Amino acid sequence: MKGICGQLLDIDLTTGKTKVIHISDDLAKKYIGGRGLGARLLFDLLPPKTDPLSPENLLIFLTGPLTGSMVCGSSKFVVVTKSPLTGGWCDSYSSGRTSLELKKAGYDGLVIRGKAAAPCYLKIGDGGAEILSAEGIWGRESFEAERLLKDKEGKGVVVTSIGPAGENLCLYACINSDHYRQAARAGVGAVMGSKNLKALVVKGSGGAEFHDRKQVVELNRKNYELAKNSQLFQARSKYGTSLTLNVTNTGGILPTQNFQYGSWDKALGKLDSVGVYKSVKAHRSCQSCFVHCSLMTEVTEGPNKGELFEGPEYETLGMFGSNLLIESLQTVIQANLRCDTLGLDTISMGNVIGFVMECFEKGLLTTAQTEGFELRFGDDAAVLEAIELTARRQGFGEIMSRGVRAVAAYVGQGSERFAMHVKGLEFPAYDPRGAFGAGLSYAVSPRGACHRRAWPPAKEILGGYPPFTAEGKGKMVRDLYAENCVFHSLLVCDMPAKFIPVPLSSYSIDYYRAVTGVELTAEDFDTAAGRVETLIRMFNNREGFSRSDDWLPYRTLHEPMLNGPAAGQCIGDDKLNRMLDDFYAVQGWDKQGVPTAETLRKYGLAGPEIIA
Amino acid sequence: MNILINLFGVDVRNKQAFTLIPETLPLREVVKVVDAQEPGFFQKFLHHDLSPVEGTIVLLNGRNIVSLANWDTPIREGDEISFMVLVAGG
Repeated sequence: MKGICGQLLDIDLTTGKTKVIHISDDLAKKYIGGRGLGARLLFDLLPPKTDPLSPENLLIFLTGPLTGSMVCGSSKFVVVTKSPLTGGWCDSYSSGRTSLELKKAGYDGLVIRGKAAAPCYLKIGDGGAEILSAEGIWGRESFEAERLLKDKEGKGVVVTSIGPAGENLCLYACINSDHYRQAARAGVGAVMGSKNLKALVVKGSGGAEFHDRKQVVELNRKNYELAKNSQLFQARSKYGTSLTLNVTNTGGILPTQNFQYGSWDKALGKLDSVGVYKSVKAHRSCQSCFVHCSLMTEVTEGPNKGELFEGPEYETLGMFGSNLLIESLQTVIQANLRCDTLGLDTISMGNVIGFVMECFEKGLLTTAQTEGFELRFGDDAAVLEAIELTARRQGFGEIMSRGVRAVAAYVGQGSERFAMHVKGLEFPAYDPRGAFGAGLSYAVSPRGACHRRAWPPAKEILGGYPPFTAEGKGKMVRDLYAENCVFHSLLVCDMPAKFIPVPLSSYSIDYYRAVTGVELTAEDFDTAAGRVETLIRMFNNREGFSRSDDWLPYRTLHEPMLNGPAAGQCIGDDKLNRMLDDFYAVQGWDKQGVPTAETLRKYGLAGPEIIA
Repeated sequence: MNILINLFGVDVRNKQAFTLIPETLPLREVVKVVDAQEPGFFQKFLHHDLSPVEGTIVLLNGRNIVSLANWDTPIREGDEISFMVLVAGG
């Protein structure tokens, strides 16, 4: 089939040897690519119970069948590994040109194993990979490392790197790509650091053939014509994701003061679309995307004063703004910038800081336990200091670098009740007490609390589904998971697809046909999504996860929301249990979340399919 | 009655205050009154006949009106109405 290279490059950093893993057309059709292929690879190639920070863990970079084809929104890659933060499945996505250059070099992805004897970087090109010394680069912040590597290897190369947080094995370290893009969640940067791998430097010159490039161009043109007159497209292109804060504040799901409240009007005009837009100097789009939703904002305070910065996105505005009672957009921008270049996930960092602030607020933590460091809601300077301490694991930053679950274990005294995580992964910037399906979505997410596998607020806040009920939410969340699984396996950004007023399945089917020459139906894609989600469930079950891990924090279940449209609401054990039962049933899993024999037969999940 | 209206689209207006008489009106009547007070206020979201532009959604106090009584939903003192496009995630 067209669109794929049909091979992955397998690199062992311990031995320095490389080999090729062939991907058959049948396998490519069965698992699509990206998330789907990553599930098959991790399940088949990673020994059970592997320590995530050991050399045996795998760090897998994957593209999708649409990568490099000029399909709108197709310049993404996924990093698949076993998470050091959760101990389970991890897939983390990033935009950037790495995916395009990797495909041009002739590979659909990389499987990286082992551990280099000394810090190194990988140079990937048409001829394979070279393992090169990272002397002089290791220890540098990510932005500087990228500049140094481009100076050394030539401006045409694309760099994907970790910062000090990844080198120091901070459990929510991210991987940076193209400066401002991150595969951020669940500690992929720590896995990279554990392998003594500072960066990938990629440059290719060939790549996969495409079935009908003219058709891709024509589909892009047609979709742009549909999109350009819609206010949704125009609003997204103007405000990026910052407009989401207006919506979540209005809907009562904006995390405020460590998820104690769901609305914070002080954010309006400062941290929302109106506030952010005042600082916007330019807009950017990803390569081959016609939605220019990236905002280039001006830094007017701090050591980076005068620079342009890409962001902040909604999640960072929520987690560093309302969640910490920080009103200053410039503080949020500085926090965002420092997290990016130090290599930290802004969602997890904001969540951890919010938790520590509440511990101080409640008198559960004192400076005697934090080496003199104090964090209070609304303290801008302390927030910025917390980031530095965490990335370098200095002082109390050592505790904070382990994630909110570990900080709660350190604090004790019942603080776990308001440690906002699932499976160890910190909540993003939506409070599920205002949209119960979002709670289910967090609970069943295999990588932990995640807003990207399904986005139920689209149904429960915007779509008119009743937000405070359990009925029908299992099927609703299952279908949203399947929809996004297809996008994340094709590795096309779901944002532009959702702005184009044609059926999502047509978007996938038409582009997929044009690029690969393969005709798949909407049912084929839905079946593939069910297969992939089931395989990922099997992976987590093998690692020891069970129904009891599909659970929400005490606050979400039992503490009523304190303000806004969801005031008085909490999900409760009974509703979550009913939603879990329904979700497992529609997935074809038993009451414990174990896929049934019939489901395994249906999806053709009889045994290993990749041997390397 | 005093109400607040938000517009979340290409133009964003947070919490615009309006005072209307009488004390309770169905949403469709509120829209007509506000449109008369400030012509063009809803132009990105509603057609000239005040039917919604495709993709427009309306929230009353954070709840989509389709889960309430739609355009017949009664509006009362202190209510907050949001006209918006279907913004998808962050």
